[in-house]
Amino acid sequence: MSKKPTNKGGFVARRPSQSARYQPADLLPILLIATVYFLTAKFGLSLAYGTAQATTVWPPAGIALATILLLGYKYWPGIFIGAFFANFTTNEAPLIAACIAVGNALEALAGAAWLRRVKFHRSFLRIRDVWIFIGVALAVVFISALIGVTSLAVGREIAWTDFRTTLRVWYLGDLMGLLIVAPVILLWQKQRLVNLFHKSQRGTYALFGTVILSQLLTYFRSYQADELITPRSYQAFPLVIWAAIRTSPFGVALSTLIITMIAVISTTHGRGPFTQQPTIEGNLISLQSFLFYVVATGMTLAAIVAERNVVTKNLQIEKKELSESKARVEGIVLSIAEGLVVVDAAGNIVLVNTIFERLTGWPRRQVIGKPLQSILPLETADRRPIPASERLVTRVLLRGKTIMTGLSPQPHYYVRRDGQRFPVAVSVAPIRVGGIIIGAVNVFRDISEEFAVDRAKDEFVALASHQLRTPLSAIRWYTEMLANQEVGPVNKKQRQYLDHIYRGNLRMVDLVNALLNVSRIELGKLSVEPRPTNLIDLAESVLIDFQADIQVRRLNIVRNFDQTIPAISLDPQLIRMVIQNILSNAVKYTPSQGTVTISIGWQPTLGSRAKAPARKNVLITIQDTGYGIPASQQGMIFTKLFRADNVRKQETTGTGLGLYIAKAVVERSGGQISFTSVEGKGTTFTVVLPAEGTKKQPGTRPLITSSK
Amino acid sequence: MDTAKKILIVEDEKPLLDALTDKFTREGFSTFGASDGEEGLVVAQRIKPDLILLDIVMPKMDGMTMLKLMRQEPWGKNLPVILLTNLSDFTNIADAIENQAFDFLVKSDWRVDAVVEKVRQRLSQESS
Repeated sequence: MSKKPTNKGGFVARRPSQSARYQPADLLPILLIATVYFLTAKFGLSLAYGTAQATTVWPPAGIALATILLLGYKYWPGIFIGAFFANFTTNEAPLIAACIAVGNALEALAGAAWLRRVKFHRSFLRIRDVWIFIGVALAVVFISALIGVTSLAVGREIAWTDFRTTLRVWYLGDLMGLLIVAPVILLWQKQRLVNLFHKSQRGTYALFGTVILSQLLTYFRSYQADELITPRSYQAFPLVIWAAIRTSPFGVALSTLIITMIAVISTTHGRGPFTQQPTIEGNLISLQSFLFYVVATGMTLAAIVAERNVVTKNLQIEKKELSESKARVEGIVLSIAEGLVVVDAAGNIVLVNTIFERLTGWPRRQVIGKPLQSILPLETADRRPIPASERLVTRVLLRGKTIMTGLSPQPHYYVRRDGQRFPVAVSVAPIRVGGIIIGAVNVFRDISEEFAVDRAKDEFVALASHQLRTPLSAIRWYTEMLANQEVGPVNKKQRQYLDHIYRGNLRMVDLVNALLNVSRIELGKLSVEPRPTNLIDLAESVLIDFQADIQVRRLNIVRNFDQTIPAISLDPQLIRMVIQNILSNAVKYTPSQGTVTISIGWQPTLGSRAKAPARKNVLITIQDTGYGIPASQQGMIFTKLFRADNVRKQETTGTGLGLYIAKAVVERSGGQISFTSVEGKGTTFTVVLPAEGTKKQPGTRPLITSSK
Repeated sequence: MDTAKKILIVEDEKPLLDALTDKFTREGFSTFGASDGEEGLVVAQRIKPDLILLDIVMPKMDGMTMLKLMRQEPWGKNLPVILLTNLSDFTNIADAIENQAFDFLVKSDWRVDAVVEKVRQRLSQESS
């Protein structure tokens, strides 16, 4: 079993097609083959008892097939020459000897070609190889036997009446030559010998010792006529079974070769169990028939064992790979830098990682198998314990959806083993195997720091709001009262100055409001409070706010309202701000006497041929004939604090926050905002809102809306 | 001016208190001022104003505390109150509604004239 069977390489030493042309160097091997063939043939013929040319022992058949298989087709002349001279020197007419030699060579060539064709592998490690080999041998042996015996009969070496008997002898001799000799040669490898007779393989020595000894004891003794003789030979079966189980196909081949040699020699000397036929030839026929079953059994069994070994080995490899990959996955899981706890379907802890141990203070050993609720209690910010039935894990196990929680709106707290607690961001995902939820993976993170940062930001927002707005209010109100001449007349220049102060003040108020809104959006604290809202009314009310600016700039306002739009569930304050921010840009950045078109209608459904188009989305479009946005800067306009170069020159006011806020608000309301713009021609902003409205989203802060 | 409505302004920021006091006086109201919740309670109890403009963030006693205490008194139970706020200090709307302060205005977002208008509007609602 030194080699795994593969279809590539190994079954022939040389590719026969590549060496089809003869070279001078080929002469020596051909002569060598011829010599070996000649000698073994002579030995076989020496055991011919009926007809001088037909013998039950024909080892050269196996040598011939193995040679062709191993070396290539072109060495057939060696077989022909060897066979010719073996027969010729047995007082055969040259023509008959040549015919017999052709038959012998053809048998080897046909056998080799056939075996190659069916992808026989000479390792005999698969049952199919063993059976193919036996099958091919059973078939090709006819070639040599038919040609040989026919030649003999035609040449009058034998009588036609002996044709069948001689054919049988010839057939059996060649067959056993193939089955017993060829496997030994095909399997002959130094490594196999080393493996077989390695020091550690004491069993091999015991096996071969037993084979030789028992066979000698069986075959080299005489039996009484009334002894039950035949069963004695059956001990060959346990021996080859032993060889098959304990060694390899090679071991089996060697064992059967030894058994055959001992049996054949003893039988030709009239000893052993196969002595009941009147002639030695008859005894040899019985013996060879018997040995056929021995070798077929042994080789088949060896292949079964080999196949089983391959399967076992693969299983071991797979098992090893499996355990390695399991260890790797576990290593990855345990090394996750966030707290990890896996629970089964009943909510009991199955696995935790190192971060879990560190964050909760519980060692792994003490939590496995315990209910998560008892190990890691959950609390709200105001220390109200959350019951197991309300935990994320329970909800995930029930509904099979992944759930995440975090800072917003209010974090939950895990209580450590020592009673301390920390705010957590948790994500829980179900584990499904074959569609069934078998547990849940709970990953969590200590968000104390984020929480502190969040609070600091909140405090900053409050401080900025209070500290900035108080003086802004004072400036605003005093300026208003001065400009109204409530405390005395104001001259033209003074009024102009007051006007500047007032506008500066309003800009600062807007900026503070915008900044606070941005802060709220970024904290995720923006609350959405939808209620049925008429978008057209909303747009009209925004237009009223801009009345003064529109008149000053003498802008032409076009209204394009589809009156079939129903009241939609939206947060009116938020959507008002969106319209306001976009309209403010349109008014601000459109030159005198330009046109601003505001449209509210259904979004046309693309490619819809239905008579009643699906009214899924509502479009708010605000189109102006203004300065437009430079193409190079169009990608930036929803960016916080960004203002396009061309409008900076036109208008110095503007916070650069309006569109950023508008986009955040629209998206939070479940809609989309987009625009098209050509510099110098104008800009069109489009807001798409779902007609089904916005869902209520709890946040802690409303957005700061317009000035009064 | 004997029918002048009495307005109490409770505001800790002197410039704002002065601005509103001046404005409301000029607008014909009988105007009183207080610079924290404690003082506000004392003055309110004494003069029984028709309406209070109440700031929220103040030293000693904040606006919401003053409002709650006032609501427990018979004279202050139904007294109209408009909260002055910077919005960020005004997180608990429910709390305010519970104490019958339905109006609140963000100071910097309101013109001073609009504040006066709002007060007039509220007073006319009360009298009708």
